[in-house]
Amino acid sequence: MSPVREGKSLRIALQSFFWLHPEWWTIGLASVAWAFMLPHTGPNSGHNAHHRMTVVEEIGNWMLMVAAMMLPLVRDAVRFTASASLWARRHRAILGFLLGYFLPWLAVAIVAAMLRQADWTHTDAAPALGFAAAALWQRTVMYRRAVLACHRTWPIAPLGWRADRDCLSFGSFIGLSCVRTCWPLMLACGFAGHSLIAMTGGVVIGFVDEWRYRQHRRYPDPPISGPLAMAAYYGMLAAWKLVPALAA
Amino acid sequence: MPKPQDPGKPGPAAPRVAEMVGATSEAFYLGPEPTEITLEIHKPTGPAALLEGQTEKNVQREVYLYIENFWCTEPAPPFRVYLNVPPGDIPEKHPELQVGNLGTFGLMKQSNPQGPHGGNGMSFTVDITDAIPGLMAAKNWDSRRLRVSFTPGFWEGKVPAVKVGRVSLYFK
Repeated sequence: MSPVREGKSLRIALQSFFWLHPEWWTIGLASVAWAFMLPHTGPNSGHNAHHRMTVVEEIGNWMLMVAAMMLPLVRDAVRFTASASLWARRHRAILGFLLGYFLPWLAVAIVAAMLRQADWTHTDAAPALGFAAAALWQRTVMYRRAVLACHRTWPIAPLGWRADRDCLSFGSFIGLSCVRTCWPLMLACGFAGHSLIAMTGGVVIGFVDEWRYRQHRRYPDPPISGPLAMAAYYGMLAAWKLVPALAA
Repeated sequence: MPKPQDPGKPGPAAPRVAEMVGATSEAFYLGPEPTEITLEIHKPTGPAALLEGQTEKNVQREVYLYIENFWCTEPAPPFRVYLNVPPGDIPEKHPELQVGNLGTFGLMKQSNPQGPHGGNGMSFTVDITDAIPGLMAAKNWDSRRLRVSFTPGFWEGKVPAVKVGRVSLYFK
């Protein structure tokens, strides 16, 4: 292939990618959030649960965790928001959606940060209980309804303040649905001190649930082995630390 | 795959991506009487703009009407869709302006927030590409505005209020 034609192909490939995937920068934001979280999660991965932070630091870390873990899972809603908007305001619409999306999570972050000031949330038993609660939650009707709500669409006005309002409303609706779906899982990850193991486990569980939903397109019956395995891992860590105490 | 040495054949082309060019701003209701809404059509600025003036290259623009979040918790009749019905006229008098029929089978199930579809309602895509040349020939096409009328089909009972989240227009 001639260099000119090769250059044209590359240009068209890039153009196609940005046209078809306006959500690209949302995934970029998630990657940046992972890049910020990794130094914090990696080296202390066995001790994150015991690491203490101020309320503001906790809220900041919580929101980074939400961006890293949840944004890849809402890419379809972001793409819908863009495709339902006028071409010139696609990225503005995505920004509105994301602002709305983070609002419910910010409320949860404040509650979680307050909880993290208590001593019991700095034990390995806390994430173990959180993951066990996530497994139980996934078997409830409330969870199934919340998953269905996560895949709702929303009428978005084409222009003006109504368009901004609709993007914000849609984002907060999806954010609230995500909170209803994932609150025990995210609390467990928060109690685990945003450890790499907990966050990676949480992301895998989220993607498996999403994949299952796509397969069935109706009431999903998610496998609870993922949250149970995570609960067992943190349960064992908690028990391991109890053994010397009991021996003494 | 075109060969590089064959300049007569087209090279790689960007995909056809649908671009939204107009939509309603608020939800509205359909009932027993004909309902007309108006969409303001905006000039395309994305992929659809590239197709402007390419008719000589045999590239035809596809035009779609998208009816979203069609929602009702009671049994409802099907609705017929018409474009640019002359003001004051009954849509049924202009069968040539009918572009689609919205079937409502399964509407209640899809509108139930507790149901398996999460209460999204139904969505319909109506391909109006072939209707545009006829409207243009009849001088009944305004490139800045599109009027869409809905009338209920035959129904024995009371026609309930059917909520429509949005009607939008896409060029592709």
